[in-house]
Order: sequence, then structure tokens, then C-alpha cells
Amino acid sequence: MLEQEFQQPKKQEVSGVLLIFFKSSYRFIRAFWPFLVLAFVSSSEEVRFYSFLALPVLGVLGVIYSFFYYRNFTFYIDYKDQKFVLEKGVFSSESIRIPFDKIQQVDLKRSILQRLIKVYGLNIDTAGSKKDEIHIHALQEKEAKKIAEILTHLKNESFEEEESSTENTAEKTSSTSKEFWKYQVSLFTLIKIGLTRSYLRGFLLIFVFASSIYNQVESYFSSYLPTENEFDNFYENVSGDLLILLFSISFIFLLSILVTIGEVVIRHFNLNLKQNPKNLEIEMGLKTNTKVSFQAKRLQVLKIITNPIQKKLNLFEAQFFLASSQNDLGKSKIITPGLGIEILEKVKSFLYTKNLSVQSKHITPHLVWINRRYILIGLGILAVWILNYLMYDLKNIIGLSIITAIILLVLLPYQYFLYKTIKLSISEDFLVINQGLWTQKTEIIELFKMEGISVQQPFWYKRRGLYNITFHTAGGGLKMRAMSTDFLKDLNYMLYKIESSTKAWM
Amino acid sequence: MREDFSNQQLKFSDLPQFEKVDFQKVSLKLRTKSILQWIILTVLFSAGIGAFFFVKEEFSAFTFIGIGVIALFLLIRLIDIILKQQFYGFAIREKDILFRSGYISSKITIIPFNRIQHSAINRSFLDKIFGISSLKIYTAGGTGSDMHIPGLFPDLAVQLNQTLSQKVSENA
Repeated sequence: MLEQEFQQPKKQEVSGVLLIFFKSSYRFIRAFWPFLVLAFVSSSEEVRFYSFLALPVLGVLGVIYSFFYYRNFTFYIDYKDQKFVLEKGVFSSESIRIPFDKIQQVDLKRSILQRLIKVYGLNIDTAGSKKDEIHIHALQEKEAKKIAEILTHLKNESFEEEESSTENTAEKTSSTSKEFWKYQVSLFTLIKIGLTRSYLRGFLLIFVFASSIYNQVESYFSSYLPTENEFDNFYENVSGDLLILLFSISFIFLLSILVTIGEVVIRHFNLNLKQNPKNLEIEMGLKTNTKVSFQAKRLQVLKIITNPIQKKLNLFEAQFFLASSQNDLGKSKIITPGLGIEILEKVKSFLYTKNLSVQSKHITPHLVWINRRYILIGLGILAVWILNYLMYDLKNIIGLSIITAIILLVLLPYQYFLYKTIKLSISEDFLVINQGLWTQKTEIIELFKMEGISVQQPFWYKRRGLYNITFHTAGGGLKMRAMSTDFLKDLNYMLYKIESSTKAWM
Repeated sequence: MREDFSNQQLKFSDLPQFEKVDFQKVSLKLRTKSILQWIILTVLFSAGIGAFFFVKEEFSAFTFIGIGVIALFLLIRLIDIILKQQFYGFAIREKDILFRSGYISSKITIIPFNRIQHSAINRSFLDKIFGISSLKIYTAGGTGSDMHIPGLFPDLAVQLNQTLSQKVSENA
């Protein structure tokens, strides 16, 4: 057991004032540099004079600020409450209390400036948003190392307790049902995935690429453009023109298939899944090799994606969302395409101790869900018409009407059928959300892994008693729109599941 | 077999209902503070516009459109400040904390204590003058599920913070 040091509120090293001064000056300059530049290169001599005069004043103010910042910046370890406490702020004041077991990482850092004045910086990372991390800028080497040591020790201590309590159950399950397995996705499978994926992305890539190339080439050759006569001759041959158009479209289409396949192969080349006793190991990539291994408890959301063709070919894509400090789903996900249904089952049985396929209750959002989409589509079309009116005075009104009609005829039914596919299933331990017409997505959350729930009711939902629900997890949030009042009961059940759970959830 | 073990069937109707919770409103000083902030903002804008008129002698239609937009923005901001006050509310249950806000779209966020990472009290310069505090509650879910309760009396904020710390460490 380490001695209980740092119980008294402590300040940084006095030389830290210098660091704070430089840091705040840097921030000030970064925020106001356009004004500074303007002031100092101003043509008016008067402005320049006052700017130079203001400089020392600002400097002195900066020093005073830095001093107060230094004076109010104190930290200590509250052993009784099991927390690291930091108090700071010059005009405002802030007190941050971090429980030992919520500390993710403690590290020492030294910038050049810190080296020069012979101090150490200490960073304390926590899970959650970036802004609540602790940075102490100036500490003596001995102190910094001591604090890091104590905190790491305290952190592990509170962590070990947790581990030992879960250990027993983990062993039990592994001896009964878990067998170890390995799975590799072949190059042929990757090509199949590329072929059956949506080409939209590849198409857009090509389109953007081609149009930028075209613009450059055009501006380069604009001086060598053929004369008007030649143009006329050229355009008389309309059928030839159409042929060229058809040819270039099919060319782009072909190219986008190739690009899609290429992307899949490069990103997922040699995709390997391996289950170890305690973690799942995933390795892939041609250009950059990614290797991740994670424990089941770190998984927050599992997303499974397929489409009708891939389903026939027994190809499913699994996306693993792990606990991270990012807000949106997607930043810290691991994508593994080309898994067969039997591999998916193995992955699920590794990830979940509870049975996923037990009977569950199905819920769908209210039809009002569709209104938002229809309004967005309407606004989009309106914007195009207004833009067209302003720029071309609606000269091409027939073409525009035809395009609008086609878009409406395709998009409106599409949204309706998309709405029809949305389904929430709640079982004893899981929330499963299914949606998608062509690209079919299934999102699976273990109820106890949620961080919280937000219930939102815009006033136009009030009459119908509808709500937008956001499920927060450490891997990001999931939003469901237009859920009925009945669903609140299920939310109460979810809250009960979270609050009664004692399992580690990340 | 543990003596205290029980496993009765759960009925949805028996579960505590978050929608039935009584929310406690936040201090009216928050509104006073926001209005003061608004006045400062308005004075700054007016000064800026005044200076503009002073320096420039010719005005185009755009000048007046610009001023109109600023005035509209300030008006909406003031209405927003006045309206949103009474919709702020928080509640603490045995196992979670609830926070409500918003009137165009009213939102309730619920965070179970065993998912709180840590909490912090925050006081801005104006908060100190008006004698209020705000409480920030962090989860691992990022800003989406982080909670920021403004306009608490400092004593209450400290008390809440301590209660939360206690509950969090009970659960850890």
C-alpha cells in the first residue's frame, strides 16, 4: 500500500506561470491573428502606433491572468471519496472530480518548453468526452512520477476488484460452450462483396474525379476550342452524340464497379477473425494493416448489414462499435464484411452470454415517421426550383417538371416502403433494430450496456403522443423517431435493466 | 442457494415510470442572468451599428436588411430566454437522474447512476455574481448523453454533486 500522499490541495510549480502565459498567449494569437495582422500592417500610422502601445498592456494583463490561473489551479487526491480532484478557473471556477476507477490512462508528457524549465506535464484520460480530461502543466519530476504511480495503482486496485468478480462467471461459460475458432475471408469472397455492394459510392467517387479532371482539361484547352462552324457540324450528328453519352455512362458504371471492388479488396484484404479465450482478434488491410482485439464487454453495438443478393450468397457484414470518446456511431467501428451466417452465430455466441434469439416483442414507429422525409424531399425540390428560377428564369421548365415527377414517383414510394421495414424488437436482454429496403441493417444493443436514454417530444408530436427516442451507448447514440407512448413502458424496462445490472459494460 | 435471492416475474406496470416524475425547476436567477447577457449583447450590437452609421454616410438597402436581421435575432433570443426558463427541470430518483429542457421540442434525458463517469460543478463569472452554479454530469456516451443542469443554487449544486459522487462510488 502506498502512503496516502497528495491529500492537501497542491499548486503547480511556480515556473508553470510561464507555461500558462505562453499557452494563453498562443491561444490569444491563434484566435485573433487576423486582427493582429491587420493592426500591424495597417496603412494608418496611428493604428500601428496604438497597436504597438497595446502590446505591452496585453502582455501585462496576460501575466496577471496567468498568475491567477496558477493560484487558483489546485489538485489533490481524495482517498476517502476515491477521487482525483482538480479545481481551477480565473473568472469562472470549475471543480472536476474523477473517480479512480474511471481513469483510463495516466501519462507524463514533456514539450520543449517543459524541458527548458525542467518540469513535467501530467495528463489524466477518462472515458467520455474530450473536454473533461485533466492536464497539469508543470510538476517536478519526482512529484509527477509519484502522482502517476499512485493514480495508476489506485486505478488498478479498483479495477482488480471488478475483474475478480466477473472472472468466475467467465470461466464457467468458457468451459461449457465456447470453442475456439478462426475464420479467413478469401480474395474471391472479397470480389463477390465488391460486385454485390451498392456502386453508388464508387460512382460518386468517379463522378467527382471525372468532373474535376474535365474542368481542368477544359480550361486548359479552351484556347484551342474549335471554331463555331466545326461545332455545328459536330452537333448535327445527334445520334453519334447520344452514342457517346451512352458509352461514357456505361464506362463510368463499369469503372465504379472496379473502384468498389478495389476499395473492398484494399481495405479488407486477408480479413481474419480469431477467437481467443477472452477476446476476438480481427486483422485486415492491404495498404494499412489493422489489427484489433477486444473483449466482449467492450462491444457496445453490433450492426449487421446485408442486401438481398448478398443474403443469397450468404454474405453478411458485421460492424463492431466499441467504447470510445467519440459522439457518433462510426468513428471507432471495425468493419468485417463477408461473414457467413454460421460465422455470425459464432461471433454472437462469443459476444453475448444471453440468448439473442429468444422471443421478443415487435414495435414499429408511427406512420408520421414518413412526414419528415417527405418534407425534406419537398424542401429539396423547392430549393432546386427557386435556384433554377433565380439563375435561368425557369427556361427549362419542361425538363425540370419531368425530373421532379420522376423523383417524386421514385422517392415517395421508396420512403414508404422503407418505413415499412423499420422494426424494433425488445427481448429480455436485447434491443434489436431492423431497417432497410435494399441495404438491410440490423443493430443489436444489449440493454444493460446503454449509458442513458433521451426522450424528445416536438410540440407537433404532442397531440399524437409520439416521441423521438435516443439510446446512448459508449459507442455512440441511436435515434428512433415517432415512437408511441406505449413505448415508454419499454424504456422503463430498459432503465430497470441498466440500473439492476452490475456487470462491466465497457 | 442464497437466502436473499429472489426472481419474481416482472410486470411492466410495476416498474417505476420515469414519465410520472415531478421535476424540480431551476432558479429564476438563471433567467435574470441570461437577460443581463442579452442586454450586454444588445448594447454591443447597438454600439456597433451606431459606429457604422457614424463612420459611413451612405446607406444601401442591405444595411437596413442587416440591421433588421440582427434585431430579429435579438428578439428571438430574448423570447427564447424567457420561454425556456420554466421548462428546465431535474429530478433524482433512487437509481438515476433526470433532466428536462426545451419547449419547441421538450427533451428528457435519463442517466442511471451506475453509468455516470463523474460530475463537476461549474460557475462562470456571471454565475458567481448571481449566486448560481451549474452541474455537469459526464457519461461514457459522449456529449449526447452528458448532462448540464444550469441555474442551481450553489449549496444545492454541491449537495447534488456529493450525492452523485456517493451513488457513483456505491455502484462502482
